[in-house]
Amino acid sequence: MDGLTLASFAPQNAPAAVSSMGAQGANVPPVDFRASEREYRQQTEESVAGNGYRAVAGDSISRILGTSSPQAIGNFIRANGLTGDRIELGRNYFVPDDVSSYGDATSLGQAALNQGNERLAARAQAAAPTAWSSSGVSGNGMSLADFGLAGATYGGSATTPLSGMQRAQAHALGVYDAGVGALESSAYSFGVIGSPESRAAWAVKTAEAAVNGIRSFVSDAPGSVSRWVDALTGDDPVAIRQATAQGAGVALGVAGGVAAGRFAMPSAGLRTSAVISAERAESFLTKSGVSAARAKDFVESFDGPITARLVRSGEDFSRYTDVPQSTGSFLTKTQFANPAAAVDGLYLGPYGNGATLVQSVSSTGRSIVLEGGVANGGAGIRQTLVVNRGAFQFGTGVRY
Amino acid sequence: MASLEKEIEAVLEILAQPLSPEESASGWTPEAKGAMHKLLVELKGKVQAAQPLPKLSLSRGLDHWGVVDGALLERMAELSNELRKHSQS
Repeated sequence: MDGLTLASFAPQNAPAAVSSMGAQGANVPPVDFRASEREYRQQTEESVAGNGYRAVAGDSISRILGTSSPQAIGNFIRANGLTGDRIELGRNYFVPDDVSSYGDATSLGQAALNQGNERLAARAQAAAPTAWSSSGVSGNGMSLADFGLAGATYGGSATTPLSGMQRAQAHALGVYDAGVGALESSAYSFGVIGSPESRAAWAVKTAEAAVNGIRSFVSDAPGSVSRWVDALTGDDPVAIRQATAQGAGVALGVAGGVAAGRFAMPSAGLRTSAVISAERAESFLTKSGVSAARAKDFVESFDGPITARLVRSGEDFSRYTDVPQSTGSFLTKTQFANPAAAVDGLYLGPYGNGATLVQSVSSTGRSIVLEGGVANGGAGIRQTLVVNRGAFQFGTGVRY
Repeated sequence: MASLEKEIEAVLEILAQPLSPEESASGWTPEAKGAMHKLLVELKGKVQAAQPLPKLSLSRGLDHWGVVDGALLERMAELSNELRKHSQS
């Protein structure tokens, strides 16, 4: 374990602006990037290559550029003749190809970033302190943090109690880190932002993040979750920021999405899932109250990768059995045409279960499930192992 | 192998007995006990013949029968883990 986490790859600065409201944009003087271009030409007698971009809701300079580099931010500000970090919805901006096209703009960009930090912290003071908790999943005393947030190496050791404002700022920055990670990922992956070179660099960075993220899933040392909690609730602003970013990252599906190599966004909102090792699956089960013997036996019933997934209320499953009023922890999404197909697909033959009945099962709350193929089962057939049956409603078994 | 065979026999004895209230509360039914008894008899035969065993998860099989907790389930889970050490790769 090298201590790298997904958060290690998050930008280290807050957004240069988070301006999606017209009222805020109205305060920005009209910008004519052509005028800036003319001025620059007059000074240098060189043209600057770049593209036009019309700002949309939720844009910031960081988002437009795909980076929070002070130099890039400053270069953009200079290119467009801006006096601050705010941008205006619907306005056209010039995005230079070369981040150094207007000289050294690091100080200008850093000043803008600092403005953004201060504004973000002020906004977050009321709401942000518990923003990370949205990543928690009720039931069993477990959360998705147990799958993705472990393994961070925090060097912070500050012990001075933080003020409410300082703590809020650290949380806000962490939420931002995670959010930019998601935005960058989606925009870069679709080729929306960045130059070919920067997209290539991002791809390398993302690959590293994925590898290290997976490492953190499969080889995490025990106790790392408690270290995460300590970091989150401690007094080291850096540790709080990192821990918050990780928590928010899971909430946004970043950690799970990267580790699993995919993003999943159903209409109900962001969904989180992650491929985990058999050892992690066993650990999750035992922490959820399943005996060690059953946990091992359950995990052995899977074939191939095991995915830990957040299930939200209202998701439907099926359970195949011979006992109409029974309940159980093994469900499936597969609808079998007849009992023989269910017995083969779910490998129930050795256990003498004829799967003559199917139950409709619906989730009634959020919980984490383990999913994967069925050992000796049908090709493509997946089973869902529920660890909190209280979060599911079981119908009466009916013949099919 | 001898200890495995002994454990199978011990569990078979329990499975052969009538359903107890505790077992019933845990989800056991006469059909489930009968099905597991039959399976363990087959496995015992393979153990005695030194034949490879199929890869099984008895607690998962029992889950589909609606058996979700209890001492007998725990014992069968432990037995299942032992049996898998002798299963086909």
